[in-house]
Amino acid sequence: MALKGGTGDDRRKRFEEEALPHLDALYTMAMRLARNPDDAHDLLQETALRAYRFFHQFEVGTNCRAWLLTILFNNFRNGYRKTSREQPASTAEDFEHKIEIESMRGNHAESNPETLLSGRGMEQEVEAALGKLPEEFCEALLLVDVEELSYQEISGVLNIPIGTVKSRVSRGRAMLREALTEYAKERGIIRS
Amino acid sequence: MDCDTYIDRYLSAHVDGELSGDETRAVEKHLAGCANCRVRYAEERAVKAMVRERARRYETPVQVRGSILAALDAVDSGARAGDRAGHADRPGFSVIRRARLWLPVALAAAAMFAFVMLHGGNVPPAGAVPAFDSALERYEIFNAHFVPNVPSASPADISDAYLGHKMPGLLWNLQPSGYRLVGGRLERLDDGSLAAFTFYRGEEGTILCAFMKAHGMQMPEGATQIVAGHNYYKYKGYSVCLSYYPRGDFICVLVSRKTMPYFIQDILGSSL
Repeated sequence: MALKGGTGDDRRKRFEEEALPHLDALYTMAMRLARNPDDAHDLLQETALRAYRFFHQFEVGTNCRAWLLTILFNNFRNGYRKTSREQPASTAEDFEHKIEIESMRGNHAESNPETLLSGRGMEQEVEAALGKLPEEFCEALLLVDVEELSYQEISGVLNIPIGTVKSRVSRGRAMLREALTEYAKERGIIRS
Repeated sequence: MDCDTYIDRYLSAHVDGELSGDETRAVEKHLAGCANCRVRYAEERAVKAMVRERARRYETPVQVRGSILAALDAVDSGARAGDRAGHADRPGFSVIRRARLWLPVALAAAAMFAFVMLHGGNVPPAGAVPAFDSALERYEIFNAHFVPNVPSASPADISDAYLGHKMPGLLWNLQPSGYRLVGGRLERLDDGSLAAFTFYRGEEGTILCAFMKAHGMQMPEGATQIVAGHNYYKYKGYSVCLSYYPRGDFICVLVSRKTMPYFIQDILGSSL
């Protein structure tokens, strides 16, 4: 039988050691999902409380961050999704259209003779491109690239088959690459 | 393997280290002979690195962290209360959000398990209790004129202000009992220690909640009722409820002019 996350008096100590170091990662994801600090706070708090109550179900040696993110996403899906949230582009065509508009605004930093590969100074562009990705692609990408979860773990967090994880990551990254390339051209980082 | 197959089916998983041994060997064989796909692979890695390094990250605000720790405290104290009655980890605790409803946790347990000790009618009144006197004095002043001195547009504002001054951030929710939250005040007591006063007003009266340093204070004798760790007193004509805050050596003193039976009923009502 696998070791569990702790019960009784040692639960608090082990929770603080194992789970709380991931609080910033959870808060970052909560901010992305809820899109405002108040709702992110509620979502994070609900997640932490639920994780604490069910900490005995956490299997020691597995990825605690993935376990916590699973709870966070479940909580979000079960009631924190806000109707006021700006709807992201839902199709690839919409997405491309948004990127075009964004590029035409020309609201970017001065030209910089770097290549796309270095990506220097692309913070705003990365955020802008992520913000316009269809939600489910963006979530999969963040989980694999930022949270460094495996496809298997993401499958659990998002409750989708592993093949779907794979295609969302692949599709999302391709769209992101396209968008970043557009931005880079716009800024003269790379030539058309 | 041709380029389209590599890019469509394997590229992302290759970059993410998600290919099997056989697949890895196959794609590497392709890349060895295909300069275009090597560039494509490098770009895919660059996009991944850009997301990893440049996607915005947020630091949990101090107040948020504080209220989460306080919420864990509330679960701990609730679980202890529940343990006594054999009901640890009661799912109903999930209704707490932002740790702003600390007291109802214990009281909900009280309502559920009816853990009420009645002492009958011959209880001597509590002797002089300085903490009660401080709370009573403020209660009378605030009844005449209450002006919040912390942002009080919402319970969250008040809670954040208290937490910002290292005071308890958990507030009673007395709305279901008909008591509207008027606002919060932070004041120094005569001994120089900080106290947080939260004032409630309803159609039938007012309630003051005072968070003060416990200074090792013991529960005074003479409680008329003890409900899940909350001690109720008749004190100088007021109803007073004293409890220990689960973190940081604080006490919570509730004061009302309302008589005790109604007061308790209201408070219990607020917890459910």
